[in-house]
Amino acid sequence: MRTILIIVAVLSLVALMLPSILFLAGRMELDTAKWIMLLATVVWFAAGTPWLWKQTG
Amino acid sequence: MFFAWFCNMAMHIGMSDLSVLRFAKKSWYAVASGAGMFLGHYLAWLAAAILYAFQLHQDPSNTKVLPGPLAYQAAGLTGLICVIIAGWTTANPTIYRAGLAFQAIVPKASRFWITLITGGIATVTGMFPAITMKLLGFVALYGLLLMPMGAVIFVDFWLIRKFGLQSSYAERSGATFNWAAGAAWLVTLAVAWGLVKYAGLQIFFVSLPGWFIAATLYIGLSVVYQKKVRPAVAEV
Repeated sequence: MRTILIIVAVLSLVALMLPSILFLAGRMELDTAKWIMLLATVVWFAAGTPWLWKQTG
Repeated sequence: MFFAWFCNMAMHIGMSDLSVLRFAKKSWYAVASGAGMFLGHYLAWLAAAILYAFQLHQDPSNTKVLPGPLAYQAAGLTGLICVIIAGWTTANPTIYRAGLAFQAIVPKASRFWITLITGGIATVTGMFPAITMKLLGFVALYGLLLMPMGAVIFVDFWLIRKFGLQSSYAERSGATFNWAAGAAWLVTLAVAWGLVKYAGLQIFFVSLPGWFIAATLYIGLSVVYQKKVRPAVAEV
């Protein structure tokens, strides 16, 4: 489960960066880039939080 | 680029970070503060410049520098989420520090409630653009106010014994006020104010010479102060 979370979280970070690079290269519309980045952000928080959460105390 | 080290000076140069780093289990945890200070601020400047360039590209007449709209028009809701989370994570240790400071004034008060009230006041204040848009100048000012004390703490902990003097001297001598530290702080502030007012130096840059002035003054004044005030307890 943890491995899946790590893979999904890392992929979401890639998906977060890629649209801005494609937009800069003129390969993607700004609105499309914004939607993909929003989706990637939601996925990052969903996968990254349980991956990196550390119970203390 | 060099002055990225002086961003958020109150926290790093001014040593406010010590309020959080007191929980650090290892000394190298302070690297997090250093990374945030230099790398974080440096990249933040680059990112802000790119966002601003994009705004000007869209509308050359729009020269406003507003973090929310800048991020929103470039990255949509993701940008807004970033701004909110960045503000929240930055504010967390600051609210904690403010809570500690108020608790120092009212020691019997609950830290939980005092921190909550402090955060509430700061949140309400943050709703007024007339105040928040002056934040940059205010941050520079309170960074300047704390900078000399950061120099005093640094010298007192790392250097002062090398000059044949004692650290934490007020505590050792039973004094309630260390005049060497107090005078180093006030004189440095006066010199910094003079440099800004009469020498035309920008407030953001005055802290570099100010730090060395405060450090030198503290050592020099400690030589006199530690001769006059004798320790009440034996040296440990």
